[in-house]
Amino acid sequence: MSKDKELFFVASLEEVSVLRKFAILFLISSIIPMVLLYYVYFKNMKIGIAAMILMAIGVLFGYFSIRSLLAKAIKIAKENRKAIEPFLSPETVRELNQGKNELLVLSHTFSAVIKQLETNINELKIKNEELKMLDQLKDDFVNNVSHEFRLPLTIIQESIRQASEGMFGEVNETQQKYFHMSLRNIDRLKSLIDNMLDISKIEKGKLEIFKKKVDLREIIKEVISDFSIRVEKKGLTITSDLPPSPTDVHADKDKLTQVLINLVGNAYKFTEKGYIKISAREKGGLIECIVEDSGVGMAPKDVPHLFSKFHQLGLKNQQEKGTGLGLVISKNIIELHGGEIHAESTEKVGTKFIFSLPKAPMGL
Amino acid sequence: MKKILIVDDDVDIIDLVENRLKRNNYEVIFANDGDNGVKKALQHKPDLIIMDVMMPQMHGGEAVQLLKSYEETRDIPILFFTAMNSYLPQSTELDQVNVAGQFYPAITKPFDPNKLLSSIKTLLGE
Repeated sequence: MSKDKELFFVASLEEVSVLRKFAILFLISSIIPMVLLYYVYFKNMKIGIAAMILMAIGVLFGYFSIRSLLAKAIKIAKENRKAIEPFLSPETVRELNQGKNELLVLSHTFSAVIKQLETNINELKIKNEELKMLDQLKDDFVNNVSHEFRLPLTIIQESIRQASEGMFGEVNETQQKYFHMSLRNIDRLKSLIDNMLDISKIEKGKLEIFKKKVDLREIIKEVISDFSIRVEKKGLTITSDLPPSPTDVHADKDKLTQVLINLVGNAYKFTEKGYIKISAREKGGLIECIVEDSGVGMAPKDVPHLFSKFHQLGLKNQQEKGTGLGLVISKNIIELHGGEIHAESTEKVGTKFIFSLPKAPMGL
Repeated sequence: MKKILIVDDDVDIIDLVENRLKRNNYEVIFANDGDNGVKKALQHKPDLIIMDVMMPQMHGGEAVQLLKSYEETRDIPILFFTAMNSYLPQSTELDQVNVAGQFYPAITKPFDPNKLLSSIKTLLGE
């Protein structure tokens, strides 16, 4: 519809100059001759004739300037004909082609354009309502799905766990291996569901954190012990570099654990050989934590997009898939704590995720 | 032997929790909805009630309010057992459920069996 906008724009510009020209016309063709006529009526015939001539000139001038103005507008209308024609009645088009009834054609054109704009606005309003409804449906769906998934997941997980604990008879090594495999994948499914629910809460600004004083070193140690078997099996090492004194932050322990699991999980996913290293230290009144790996890394152009929704790089490791929500959630959690997170990466060398959190205030 | 009442509309959940509790030397009774849960509590006077939240007929919150209104069941400790927190009123901690301004401990499904057992022990004062 850009052509129509252009048409309106030109028309309104023309309006300004029309007003100006009418003022001059009014002056020349009405006021001056009137004054002169008044003078003549009482005095002299020659001046009377001069006044008549001036009046005639004024009228002619008026006629031609209006004509030229209209001609310009009509020229624009004709240039825009292709865009306008679908909105015009066949008669109008015919009249336009015959060069007749120019004003009528113009007014038809304008009202057709306005009508079209109104229709478009209404359509957009309806679409907007539909989108809002869809968004609500999506939220309800995510809520229900996460509830409906959790129950069967609980039952499957607990059954396998009880079997694996030997509650229903002795378990041999092979059976145990597959029990553990199942349990690991149940955890994976569980974190996918949690991520979906979290992201829907984040979008609504409803993700809540419950802060307590917590030593970041403890969380790091727990996460490392969670990953140690998997990391070893893949032939990687996982180490930490932690200060001897507590690194206390005022934070939601579960949520912070979620962030670290996510970052270490990513490092594990994208590292084929070498190491994963987690370090923490105090830096300028903040506690800084770095999760570093010797993995595939990424191109500098990809780093800024890391924290946006559903972004996962087309890396060679195609079998490793996720929801692509982990980093979005992590960033939100860190920011809810008043902290900051960013990434540094070199292709084929490795990636570093660095986040910092405010230190726990004294006396907490 | 301490007696524990499980109120849950899912029979599989009851089966699995029962396994765990029996292994840890608890006597187990159960009910499939809030209404029957209250009846069984009045009848058997358990030492602890494990209560689901989302149930047909009467949900867990209502059942607990009812239990608190009877003298016989008023002092029985409650442990909520729920798959979802967002349906529940706001609480200051994720592992608590708010019923009419009163906070009760909660275990979320899927659950950590160690956490379940340690919560039970704490509530029973063991």
